[in-house]
Amino acid sequence: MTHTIATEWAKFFLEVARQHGQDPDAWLTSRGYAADVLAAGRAPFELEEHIFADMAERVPDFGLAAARSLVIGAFPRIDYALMASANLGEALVRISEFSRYLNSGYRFVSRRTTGGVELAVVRIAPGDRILPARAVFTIAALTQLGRNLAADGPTIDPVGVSFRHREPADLDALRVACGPHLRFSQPRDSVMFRQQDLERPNPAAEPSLAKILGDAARDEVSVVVPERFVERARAEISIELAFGVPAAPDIAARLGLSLRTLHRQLASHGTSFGDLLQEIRFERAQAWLEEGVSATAVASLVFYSEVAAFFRAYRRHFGHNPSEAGRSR
Amino acid sequence: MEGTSAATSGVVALERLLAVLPSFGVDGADVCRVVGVELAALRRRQRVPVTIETAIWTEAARRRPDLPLGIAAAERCFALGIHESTLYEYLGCFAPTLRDASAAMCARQRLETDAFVTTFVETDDRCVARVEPVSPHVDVSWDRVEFGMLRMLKEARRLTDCEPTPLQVSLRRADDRHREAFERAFGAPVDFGAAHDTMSFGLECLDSPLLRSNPPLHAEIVRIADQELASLAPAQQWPVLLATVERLVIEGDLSAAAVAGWMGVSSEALHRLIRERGLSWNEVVDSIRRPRAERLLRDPSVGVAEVGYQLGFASPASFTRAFRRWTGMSPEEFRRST
Repeated sequence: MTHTIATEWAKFFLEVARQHGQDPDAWLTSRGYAADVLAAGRAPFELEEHIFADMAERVPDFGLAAARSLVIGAFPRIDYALMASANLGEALVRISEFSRYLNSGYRFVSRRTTGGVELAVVRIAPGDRILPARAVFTIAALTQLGRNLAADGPTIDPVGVSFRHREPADLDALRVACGPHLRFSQPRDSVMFRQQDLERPNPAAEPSLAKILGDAARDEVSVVVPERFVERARAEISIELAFGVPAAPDIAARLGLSLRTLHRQLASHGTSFGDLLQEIRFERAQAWLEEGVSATAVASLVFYSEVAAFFRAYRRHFGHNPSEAGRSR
Repeated sequence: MEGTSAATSGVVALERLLAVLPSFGVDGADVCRVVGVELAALRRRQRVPVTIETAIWTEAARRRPDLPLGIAAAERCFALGIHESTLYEYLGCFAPTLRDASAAMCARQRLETDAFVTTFVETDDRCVARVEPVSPHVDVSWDRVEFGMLRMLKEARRLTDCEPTPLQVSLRRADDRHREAFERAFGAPVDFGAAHDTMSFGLECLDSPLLRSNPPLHAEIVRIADQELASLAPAQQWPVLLATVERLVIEGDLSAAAVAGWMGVSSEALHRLIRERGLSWNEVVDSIRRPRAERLLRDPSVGVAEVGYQLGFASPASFTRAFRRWTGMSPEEFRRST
């Protein structure tokens, strides 16, 4: 299956580009998109990726600009369901659900940690690349959501923000948008909130309205074409691999299968758990290497406990050393 | 009318009544039992047959003859802070103005009930909200209608800065022994034994903005409501369609567009509904007009021209033509033969 995005989502980013002096129509043509690419309900996943790749070069801080344009009401059905949620925690559960409708190639995953709850945005579509503007957009939008929900009380700010990309030269705008606790060259793009901030009651909560809007939005999520088996397995591995090296039994459990069925199913699709895991792992490693991150650092970002093991596996996979990655492109 | 018993109402209005019954010393579960339904089973449903809703209201009112139960329940709901929580009610919450809110709700009242419709008619100096059963065949409790009217009024007051106050309230209920309570609740003179349940207002409040006005959210709610309406089962839509046609035949304002408007569906959806039954629009209309014509013609005190007029025919000749098509006889021949 190919991943898709909601057309209104693509239109939103193109509108942001327009507001910053770009000509979306000319851009679409130059990228080889047909005139009717925005006519149907869904558009190809790559469209969003192309927008971010190109506009980030043309519009300064494109990700932050897009997050700022994401005012309440831009996507009414989703926004008001979020704003009527009981608390930030519930709103984040909802946004995780709706994000699949907006872009089926990314998945939101939350993990409880000692400091609170970490919400990571993980790319499950094949061909992992590091697009800093996309990550910045998502994290800034989530930060903004927390602030909007805390409009009447003390501000809710993330207690930690992680990005996969390298630290940019100028952090000022990013600090304003995402709070001061920024870390870069991390294994995943994520934002962490304190448990008590997630549970703080939203004074504007309106459960019945949130449910009506949420149910309606969920109906739209269901129009996203269901993933085929290998894609579902791939998605679960991608998600787990943002936090550590997944074991086959965990993935089987997440898919609701026995371990044997998982192996048999993957074999019947001409692949295996190990192959899939390594494929995603090296896709991700490659993205960091292309960013100029050192091979030693990348080894730990994709959870190799020993650098030598990473080098060996890498050589077996690509036929050359990680240090040659940048040159091979 | 065949199939009218399939008319249903959203369960929430009934749940509201059941929520406040204890404060009037009435055991809701027992009321349900007498009516023959299980309270728990009722709560699991989205919609309930109008017959059951009416029976519950009637039984509850019977237990407190000292109260006008509809308005007492509406006041209690308000005191308990029970406000908008259904899709239908949210239609009236985020609209730009009171006029928009009323329009959005009236056009989609089927979300709340198949049993009665509310219309707003605006003239030069006033507007009249009129509530009436969809069909004479649907039995609606007066208390239920009065409950709805008072809630509408109180919510309109809560949601705006202006205090809409009726100039006049008219109720079909003939019994006026609770006059004082009614007049206090509505803040207006109440007229009993009227032809319709109505509230009339001056025009000053219609354009007042709603305090929660939020046009994009309102548009979204309208969209969701329309999807919901479209998904209501045809089994529920069909009796409403027939009842609406009948009503408009009587009122002389019959057109497919008017019926669709009353039902809160698009013209396409209306025609689809008719096609699904293998019928045409004319056949549906005839199925209402023909028995009505025959019934009226059996009453010798009504002239043939009058019958045609009452059925909304443009001329006596077109009535005669249609009647001949139905029966092979002219109206006069039919009258002589019976």
